[in-house]
Amino acid sequence: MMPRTERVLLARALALAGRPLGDIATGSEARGKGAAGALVERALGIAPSSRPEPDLPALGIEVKTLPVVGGRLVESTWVCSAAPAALAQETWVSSRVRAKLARVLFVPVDASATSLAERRIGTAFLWSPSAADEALVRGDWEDLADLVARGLASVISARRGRALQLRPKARDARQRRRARTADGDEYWARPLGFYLRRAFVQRVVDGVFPPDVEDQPSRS
Amino acid sequence: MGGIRVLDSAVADQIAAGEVVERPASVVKELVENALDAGASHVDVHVQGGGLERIAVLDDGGGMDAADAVLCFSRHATSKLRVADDLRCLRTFGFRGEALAAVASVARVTLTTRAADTEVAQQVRVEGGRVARVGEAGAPRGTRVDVEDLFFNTPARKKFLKAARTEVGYVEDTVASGALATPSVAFRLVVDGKTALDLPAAPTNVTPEHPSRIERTVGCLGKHLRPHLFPFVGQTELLTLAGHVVAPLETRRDLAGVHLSVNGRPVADRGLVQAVRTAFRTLLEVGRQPIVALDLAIDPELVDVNVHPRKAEVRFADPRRVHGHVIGLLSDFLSRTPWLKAPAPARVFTLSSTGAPAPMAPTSTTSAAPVDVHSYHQRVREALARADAGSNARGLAVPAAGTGAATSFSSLRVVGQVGGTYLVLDGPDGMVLIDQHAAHERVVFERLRAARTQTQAPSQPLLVPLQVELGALELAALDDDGARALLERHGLVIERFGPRTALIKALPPGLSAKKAELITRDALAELARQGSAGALDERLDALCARLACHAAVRAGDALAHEGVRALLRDLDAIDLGAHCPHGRPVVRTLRFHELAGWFDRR
Repeated sequence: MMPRTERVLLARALALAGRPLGDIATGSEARGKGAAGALVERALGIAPSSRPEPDLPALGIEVKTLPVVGGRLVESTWVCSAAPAALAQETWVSSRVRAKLARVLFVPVDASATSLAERRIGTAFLWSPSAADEALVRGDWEDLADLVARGLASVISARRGRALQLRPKARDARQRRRARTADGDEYWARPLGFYLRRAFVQRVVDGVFPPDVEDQPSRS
Repeated sequence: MGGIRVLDSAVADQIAAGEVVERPASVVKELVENALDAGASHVDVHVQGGGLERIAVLDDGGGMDAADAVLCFSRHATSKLRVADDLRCLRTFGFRGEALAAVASVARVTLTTRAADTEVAQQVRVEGGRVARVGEAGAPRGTRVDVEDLFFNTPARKKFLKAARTEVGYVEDTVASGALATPSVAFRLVVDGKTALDLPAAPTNVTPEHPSRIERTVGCLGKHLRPHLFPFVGQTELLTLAGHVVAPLETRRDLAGVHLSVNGRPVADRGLVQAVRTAFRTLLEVGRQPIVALDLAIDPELVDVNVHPRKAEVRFADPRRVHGHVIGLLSDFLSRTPWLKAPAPARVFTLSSTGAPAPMAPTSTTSAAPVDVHSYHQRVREALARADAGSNARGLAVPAAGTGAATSFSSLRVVGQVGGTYLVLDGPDGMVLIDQHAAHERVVFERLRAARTQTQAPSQPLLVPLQVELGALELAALDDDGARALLERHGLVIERFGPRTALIKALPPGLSAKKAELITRDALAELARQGSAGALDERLDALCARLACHAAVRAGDALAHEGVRALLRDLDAIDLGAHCPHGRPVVRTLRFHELAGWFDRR
């Protein structure tokens, strides 16, 4: 059953803390990328979907699993796909990126085990971007959206964006989708997706789980 | 026919002796305890050749008649116990009836004893456990036991002994422990014909402040400790702790300076020793141990002394509570005692004070008061009962710390800062040097620690809870609601996860998650064994020290005059600044007479 309040959602997520994914799997799930996220979402009572709005529309909360090893994130965090046609029509306020990141339940998953079933669920936490964080993400989004709108998606690389990246999201580099510039000109573009940079999310994680003081060197 | 045989009694005695008689000091301990139980007011111990050649213990106690003189060499022959229930409220040091039999099975022993109402002494000679001769002799009232050729029939045991000088050291420690626990008995230790200890008796029923009690402690621990010795009596509704505490300026590398007794019985109980160390923890230099001579008086029904062959350990009915009370009493005393402001400590800044516990002055009081080993504890119990009738509040019979304005650091003239690190002050006895980083570190540390201990400790969830496998002992502690609540008060959240596993979900903020498993295991094991979480507490103090280190001004930082004055005021507010939390000295004094010596002014 879909959680109706933020408190219920968080309580369910915290109850999973420490359990291996094998505990919440039925055995019939698909393996591969996204499998951990799907398992956690199902355990939280969230129906699977690929909607443009957040996972819990009524609460405005998106659920994101964070694979970590030794306290460090191992990859950037997928936000949503970036259809060039839709992107050309959006503003930051109406954007799917903003809607997805307004309130996020991050669920760390210890990815040090090779087997998915042995990976252990971490301590979930709710996050909303601070004004400074939102300004950072917004700046990146507006820069990237502008390039896409002008048909210049091909010049975008993973190096662009301080917090938000726009990267190809496809099984192979030859996949293309039809896209349209702001002037209405059609062209073929690689399917793209927005990702939060690893360093940005790591900073969020470190804010909630500060690094150990004991590990810092003594001064004299 | 099977291969199992009943051992010959001589062999069985030798095996049993291995538990009781480990080295010459064990023999001395057992014989001294017998002498005290016989009501001796004087006990003489003579040792030759490290105790292997000869040990003689002489007392002026009640002595024995002819029958008892022979019977006392049999195993489990004792006058101190009749039925098992007697164990619950023992007043004697011995009770197992094993000591003489054990000693006689591994040495040649001659017992000469005369009861007060007989004219002639009885003499019994036992060699390797077999009675060799029984006869009469002339001797004063009391008992004399001569032990010769120790381990003559168990040469393997000799190989484990140390050099004669070291063994004599153990003997001296043993006599000192007995003497500290029974101040109303006179002791003398003679080693190879030379007097090593000569300890006159203190009057019965005197408190640790009494000069004779101080002389006894100084005589046992060393004269050099006299200026740093502080009498201490603290009591709670559960127990009374009394004796002498040495200021943390004087310490030892080992635990040989921790002399503890329970109801007058010297013990080497690990839990109690740890409780004392916990109270002293942040006051000592790294790797150093405290020096104390303390007796814990508690209802005998709340302590079991029959848990160790040499009676070195005891078991409390509620060890967590006992250790907590000991830590609380000592910590209160230590925090209220201005070591730095007490006169005389040679290495540190000294200022006179009013009301501070005064270091001891030499005295020469002796007494031939009647002997009553347990009367002091009886008196304490009576006082305790009176106190309980009026109030349940903890009372400390320690003098209040004197911190008058004229005796404070902030009242001294600041000369300046040298080397970018050391503050120079003009003190009444000399030039006072303060390490600014160590001093500030100590100040911040005390604030952090106070914040930690005064409130519920915060807890930092782990990014990924840690699964740990635990042993039966640790799991037992984990299943105890009280123990788990205690850990949570310290910020450590741990839950059962499976039959033999647990999840560590949160730690006190700042503690390394890498060490979480080790910390948790230590804490749980300690809770199971001793009922306290000293290991965790110690770890948290270390964390406060680390945080303080990061927050404190650094060596090399230029300090404005106002900054120096603020630091001195802060130092005045704490009385524990002898060392930084990492154990480095905070303050040193270069005395004027030393300066005068440099310039040939003496």
